[in-house]
Amino acid sequence: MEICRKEYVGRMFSRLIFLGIFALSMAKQAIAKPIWDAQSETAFVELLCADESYFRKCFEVTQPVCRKTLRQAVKKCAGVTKGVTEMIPLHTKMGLCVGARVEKSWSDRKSASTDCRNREKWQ
Amino acid sequence: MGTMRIARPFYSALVLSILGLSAPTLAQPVATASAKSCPTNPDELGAMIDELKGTFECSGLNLRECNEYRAGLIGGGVAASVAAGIGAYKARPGLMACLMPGRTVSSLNSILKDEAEGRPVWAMLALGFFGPMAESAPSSCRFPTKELGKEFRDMSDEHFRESKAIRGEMLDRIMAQKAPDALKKIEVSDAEVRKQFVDGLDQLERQVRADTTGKLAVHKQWMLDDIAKLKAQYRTAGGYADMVADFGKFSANFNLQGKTEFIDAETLKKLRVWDMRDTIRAEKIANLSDPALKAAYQKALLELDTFADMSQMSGKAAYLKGLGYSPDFVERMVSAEGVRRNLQLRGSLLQGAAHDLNYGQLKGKAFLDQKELAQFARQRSLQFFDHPITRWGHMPGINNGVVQSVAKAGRAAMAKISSVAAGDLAGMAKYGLKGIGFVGSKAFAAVSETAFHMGDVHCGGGNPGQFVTIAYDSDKERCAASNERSDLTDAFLFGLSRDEQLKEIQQTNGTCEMLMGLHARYSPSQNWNLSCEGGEATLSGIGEDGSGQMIKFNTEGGMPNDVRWFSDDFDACAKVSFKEDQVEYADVYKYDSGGVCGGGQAIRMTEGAALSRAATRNQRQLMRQFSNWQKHNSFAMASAAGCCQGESTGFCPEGLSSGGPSKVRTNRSRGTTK
Repeated sequence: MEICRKEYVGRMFSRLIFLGIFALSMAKQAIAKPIWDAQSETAFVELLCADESYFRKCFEVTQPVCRKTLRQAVKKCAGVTKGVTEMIPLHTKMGLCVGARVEKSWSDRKSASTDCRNREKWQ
Repeated sequence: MGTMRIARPFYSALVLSILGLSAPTLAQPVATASAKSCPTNPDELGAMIDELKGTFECSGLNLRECNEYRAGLIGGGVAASVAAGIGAYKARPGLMACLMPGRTVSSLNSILKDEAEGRPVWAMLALGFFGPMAESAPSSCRFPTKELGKEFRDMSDEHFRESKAIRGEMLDRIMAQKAPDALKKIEVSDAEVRKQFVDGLDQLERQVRADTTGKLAVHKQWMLDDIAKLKAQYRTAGGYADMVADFGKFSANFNLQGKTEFIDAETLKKLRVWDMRDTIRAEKIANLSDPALKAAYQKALLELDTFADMSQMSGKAAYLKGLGYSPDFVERMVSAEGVRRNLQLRGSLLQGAAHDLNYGQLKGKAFLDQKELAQFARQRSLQFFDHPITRWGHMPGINNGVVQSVAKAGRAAMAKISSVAAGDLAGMAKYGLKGIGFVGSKAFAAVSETAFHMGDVHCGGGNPGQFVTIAYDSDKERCAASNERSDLTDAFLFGLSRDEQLKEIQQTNGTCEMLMGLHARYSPSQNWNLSCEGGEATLSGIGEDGSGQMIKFNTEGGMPNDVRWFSDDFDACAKVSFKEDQVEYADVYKYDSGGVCGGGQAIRMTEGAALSRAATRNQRQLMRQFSNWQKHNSFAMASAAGCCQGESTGFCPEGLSSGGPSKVRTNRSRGTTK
């Protein structure tokens, strides 16, 4: 009886280990690693610095300056994504940080146009 | 505030919709994701978007951040939404295969436009996304070029309609100022237009209500709502300008395309409100007996064409003000023009993005080396590279990021592109390929290994969406250009075969022998005159604003069917040279028009990898050189091929034949600088 219990516990233990490893490997497969990488940055910067974009239309900045500032802001905002384990929130946080930072730093260059005060116009 | 809360998730939803993602699928792990078919039912799509709105409401933000977002720091909100869309894409790359099938796009488009005030944001974003992400796209991805091409055409059409309606109004004003007597006879009142259109809407409403097939309106109530909105708009509009003020929005919701075969001709005629003035006016003009009045009308039409040809927004604005339009209306018009140009630009990017996805992933890297490029070219040669009139806006050798830069015409980026492009062409030549060459970002000529001659100058320029056909008009003894963009752009966007393309061109231009031109401004009235004496081609009468300069390419070495490539408004030219038996561009003359047709300063650059450095170093000096060129108002280029060389091309006036070494000289009435 004692032997049986040991065998049972041992079998359960190895099953648990197996299941744990399996779950871990599945989890690794299942969840795309959240990351803000060069690709994200390129797409982000290109979209936000496009000719018709909010940042270009509402601030007196050239495209190179726009790109450069955004990239700098991305670096400064790197910390906000720490501990974020999902892709979309990670990107959202980064976007919010960068956008707000750039908006503030360019406040003296902002156009007086009413469109530039209307959020819906740019969403 | 409520609307603001909606705005951001909507934007995110939009982004995800573009990418073929939905909230439920986002919840699934990547590993188990499979490309499922996209919903086509409008209700299902609507539900999907609603779900997305909920999912993305302040997604991942803490309370403080969410409040900050809602408080309205626009930049933060915009950037967060864009970034969220990118994140969504990255989380679900496997669903690329479900990317925007045409019907889904159409349905989404109508839904989204309603909320986005008619702005085709998704399309703009889509293009922005596809490029940067292309390299990581799974190999099974297919970019629905054809479907998306149609969407772009539809969007352009909407703006075209709006422009047309405004054009009718402008014509009235011009005539009121300059030929009031004629106007009285042919004036089309707002009431006449309104009556016809509202009548048409009534008829359509009856048909929609009676329709049980679903062909006229998949979602009947939406259609009826749109009709009601339109009727209200047109019944209460104070004047024609007011009527057309939101025309883009309404026409976007009320897209007749694809429905025309189910609506009777009489109703359809009445519904084409953008044609209504012309239709009614045509009847009145036909009844005019006084030739002087007819002439006055023709003169006003010419003035409108002049307006359309103006490339400077400030000039357009001043002209509109001169016609008595309110500042608000002028601003709207100029803005619409900007949108149109942007659309055209974006449309051009479409091709590049498509090629990125379909082919650019070939090697999974941004730049192919020359050997790889040559292999790639060989592989595709039967389909593409052997086509003298195939136009490539993009190539795998030029990565998407570069293409995006091109679209924005940044000077530094342009320099970079030139070097890449020259490398591409040299690579192709090295491997003995016929093909499409690039200078600047653009395909510019069909060439073969025999087409390279020391000292030839190859030029390229323009947005890939812009085409011009040039034909010798024997009646008028001049070369006439027709650059109504839709005729030819479609041919390329829709991936027609070479024969189909030729047919398309022939239909456009009758029996004239055709020349293909690149990068013409979109202008319905642009004409060029060509004289060709003593082997020297002189092009003149080109755009009042100085745009439209044309360069004749070397066409020796066999360009079949007398299809020759020309360009106006070039971005770059390069002189062919040889180095160790390889073709190389010794000099690249870059002519940066800054994204606007015509004008600009040229930058001469030295060869190879030093191009961009040289551009920077020599820029001032070179600008001076080209300033002189502009001053002299002509530009002679050494070209091995003359206009009248060899066989009769149909391009040269009859009786002239080849001369000695030839030049192409462009005469410009006025240069612009940027």
